[in-house]
Amino acid sequence: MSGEPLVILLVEDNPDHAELVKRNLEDFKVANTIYHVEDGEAALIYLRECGTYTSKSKFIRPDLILLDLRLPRIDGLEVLKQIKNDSSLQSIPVVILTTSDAERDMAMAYEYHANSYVTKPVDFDNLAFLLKDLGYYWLAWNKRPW
Amino acid sequence: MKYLQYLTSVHSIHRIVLITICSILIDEIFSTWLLHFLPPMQWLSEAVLDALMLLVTITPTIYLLVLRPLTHFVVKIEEEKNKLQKSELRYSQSEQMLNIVLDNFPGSVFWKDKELKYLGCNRPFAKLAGFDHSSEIIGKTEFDLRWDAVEAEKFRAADVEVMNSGKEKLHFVESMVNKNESVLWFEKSKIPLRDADGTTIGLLGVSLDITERIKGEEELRETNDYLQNLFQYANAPIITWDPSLVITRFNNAFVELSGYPAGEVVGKNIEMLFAKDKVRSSMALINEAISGERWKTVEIEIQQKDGGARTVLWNSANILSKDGSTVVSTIAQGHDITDRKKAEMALQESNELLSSLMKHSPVYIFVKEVSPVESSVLNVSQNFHEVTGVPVPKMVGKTMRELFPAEFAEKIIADDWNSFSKGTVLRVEEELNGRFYSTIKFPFIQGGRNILGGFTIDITEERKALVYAEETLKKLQESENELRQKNTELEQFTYTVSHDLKSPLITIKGYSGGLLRDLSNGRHDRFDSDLRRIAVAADKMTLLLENLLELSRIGRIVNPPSEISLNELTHDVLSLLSGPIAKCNATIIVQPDLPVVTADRTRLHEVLQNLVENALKFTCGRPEPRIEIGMRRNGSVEPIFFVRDNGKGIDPRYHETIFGLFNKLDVSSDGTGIGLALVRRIIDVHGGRTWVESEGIDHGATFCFTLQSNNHL
Repeated sequence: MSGEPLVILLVEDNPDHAELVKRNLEDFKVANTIYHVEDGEAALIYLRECGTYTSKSKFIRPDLILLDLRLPRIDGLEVLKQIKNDSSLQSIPVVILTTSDAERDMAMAYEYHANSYVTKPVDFDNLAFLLKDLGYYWLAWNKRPW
Repeated sequence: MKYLQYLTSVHSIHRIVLITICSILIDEIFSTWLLHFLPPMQWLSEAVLDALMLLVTITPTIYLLVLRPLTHFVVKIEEEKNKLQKSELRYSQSEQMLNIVLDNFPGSVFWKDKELKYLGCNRPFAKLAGFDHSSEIIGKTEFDLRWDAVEAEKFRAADVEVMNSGKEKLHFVESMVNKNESVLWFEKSKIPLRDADGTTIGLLGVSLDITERIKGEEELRETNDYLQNLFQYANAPIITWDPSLVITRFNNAFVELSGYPAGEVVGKNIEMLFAKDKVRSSMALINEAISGERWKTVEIEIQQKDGGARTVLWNSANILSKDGSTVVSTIAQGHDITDRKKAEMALQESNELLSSLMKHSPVYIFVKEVSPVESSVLNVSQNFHEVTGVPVPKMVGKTMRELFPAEFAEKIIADDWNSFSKGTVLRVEEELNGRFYSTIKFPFIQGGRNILGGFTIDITEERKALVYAEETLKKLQESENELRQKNTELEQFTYTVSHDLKSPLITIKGYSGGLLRDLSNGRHDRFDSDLRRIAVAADKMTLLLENLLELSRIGRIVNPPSEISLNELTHDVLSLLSGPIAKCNATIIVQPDLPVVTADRTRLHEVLQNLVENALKFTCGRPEPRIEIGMRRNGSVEPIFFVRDNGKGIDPRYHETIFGLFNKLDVSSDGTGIGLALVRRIIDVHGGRTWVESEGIDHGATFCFTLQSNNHL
C-alpha cells in the first residue's frame, strides 16, 4: 500500500477531535484519504456500502478504521462487533480511539477483536510513526489490558 | 314233708339229690315199718329165719304175745301202705315240681355220671347245648353238644379235674361262644356227686349266665380307662388332692405346666406348687374355695420347677363321700392364662401409652371415621379443644359439620374422602379462626371401618415468620435490585464521566498543544478558531458538570410530594416556554381535564419542560408543528401521560438509547443529551415508567410516562 494514499475511516462524533486527527495526519504528511463519520450507524452504513460496491462506490474501502467508543446511535463497541462479525470487513484493522482508559472498555474492545486501543489524546508523533509502518503498528502501540 | 320242704328251699336243687334224699326218706319209712312188723320171709336171711323159727317154736307165748301185735301191725302196714301210696303220689308230684323249679331256675343245671355222660339237665342248659328237650341230653358226652371240640375239651377238662380231685370247683368264670358267635360268660360251679357212702357217682354242674355283668364290668373298665385317659391327657392341667392337701393325681398337662414329673408331685403337699411368698395367699384362696361346694374361678400362680411362674385360672369341685357328708378328694382344673395375661398386660400398657400420648401430645391428633359425605370423630388428643373450642369428651362422635363452620367442614370432608379413597397420605394447610394449621392425613381400615388418622400442628407463628421472612426477602430483593440499579447507574455515571467529561479536556489539551506548535512554527492562521474551540470545550465541560450535579441531586434530594393539578403545571411550563413556542409557531394542545396528582412539583415541572422542549426541538422548522399534552388509560389502571409531537420521529432501534445519559442521536443537535436521562430519572424516583412511541423517521414521537398509582388518585 505504500505509494498509494492510506484510506482511513474516522468514526468520531466530536468535531474537535476529528479535526485534531486530521491535522496531525496532515502535519506529518501521511498520504491519506480520511473519511469521517459522526456516529456508529453512519460508520456501518459506510462500511456496508464499500463492501458491496468496492470499485464503483463513492465509498472506498478503508485501510484502517479509527473508531471512537462513545458514539451516538450505535456505540463503538457495537460497531466493532459488527465489523468483526462481517467476513468482508473483519480483515480491516480497527484502532479504538477513546477518551477513557476504563478497563471495561479495553476488555470489551479486545474481546471484540479490536486490533489496538489508543487512549486520547493520541500521541500523534507516535501515531504518525506507526502509520508509516502500519504492518507493525499494533506491536509497538498496543495497549493491552494485561 | 319236712324234707321236701327243705329240699325245695335248698339253694341248689339237684334232682338226683332229691331222689337220694327221697330214697333215704323211704328207707326211714321202711325202717319204721320194720320196727312194727315182721319182715317178709324173702327179706330175711337164713339166720334170722332160723332165729325166728326158733322163737316161734320155742316160745308160743312169746309168739302169741308177738302175733297179736303182729296182726295189729298188719293193719298198721295196710295203713302205712296207704300212707306210702299217698307219699309216692306226693313224690311224683314233687318230681314234677322239681322239674318246674329246675326249668325255671335262672341258670343252667346238668348232671353227669362217673363217665361224664350226661344224665340230665334243665331246660336252659338243654337250650344252651342245642337241644329242644332236656331228655335228649341223656347219654350224651360233652363232644356231642353244640360247642366245638376246643370248647368241649375245655369243659371236659374242668369236669375231669373235679372228678379226679373229688373237690368241688365253685364260682369260676368261663366264656363260651354262642350260636350267634357272641361270647357268653358264665359263672360255673362243678360239684362231685356222692352217694351215701361218700363214693363219687357223678358230677353236678351249675352255670349262671353273667354275660351282662361281664359286659357291665367291661364297660365300667372302659369308662374308667376313658376317664383315666381323659384325665391324663386332657389339655387342661388337672390335679386332685385329698383332704390333707396331699396331691393324689397330676395329669400330663400339669406336668407340662409345672415342669414337675408327676412322680415328684404325687404324695406331696399341694403347697409345693406355689412360690414361697405366695403359698399363704394361694392356700387361702384354695381353702376358701374348698369350704364351699364349688370354687368360684380364681387366678392362681403356679411356680414351675425351674422357678418360672404361670398364671392359671382355676376351678374345682369337691368329691364327696357316698353319704355326701365328707370331702374325700378335691379335683381342680386349671386354664393357663399366662400368655393371655401377658397379652392383656401388653394391651393394657399399649392402651395406656396411647392414652398418655393422646393426653400429652402437643401435636393435635385425630382419628375419624370417614365416608364420602361426612367424617366423624372417633378420638382426638386432649389438646384438640384448642382448635375447636369444644371440650374433647363432647367432640367424640361429632361430625365435621357439627364441629366446624360449614365451608371449612365441607373442605375437610372432601379432603378426608380424597385421602381415603385414593389411599394416599394427604398434606393440607388450613386456616381456621385466624390461625393456620398444617395437617397430615392418612387412611387405614380398622375393623371394617373406614378410618382416617391425622396429625395437625398450629403453624400460625411459623406462618407469620414465613410471611415476615418473605416480606423481608422481597424488601431485600427490592433493595438489592435498587442497589444493582444504582450500581448500574453509577457505572453508567462513571463511564459517562470518564468519556464525556474527558472529551472537552482532550479538546483543550489537543488544541493547546497545537497552538504551541503553531506558535513555534510561526503559524497564526488558526489561533482564533483553536482558542474558540478551547473556550467552547471549557463551557461544555461546565455545562456537563452542572448537568451531572443536577442528575445526582434527583436521586438524593426528594421534595415532599404535594397535590398538583397537571393542567396548572402544564400551563406553567407552557408559559415558561412561550418564547420558543412562538418562535416555532407550534400549535400546543392540552387536554383540559388532566387529573390532580401527588408528586414532587419541581421535578414534575422539569419532566414536562424537558419533554416539551424536546418536542419543540424536533418539530421546529417542520410544517405545522403541533404538540399535544394529554392522558390516556389504554385499559390499564394507571393513567399514561404523554407529550406527542408531529416532528422528526425516532427510529425504533433507538427508542431506548435516547434515554441514556448524554446520549444524542444527532451530533449536531443542541444540548448535552441529559434531558431524557433526567426525565427517566425523575419518573423512576416517582415509581413510574418512561418510554417513547414512534413509528420511525417523520412519523412524530410520543413520550409517555406513568406515575405510581397512588400518586394520582
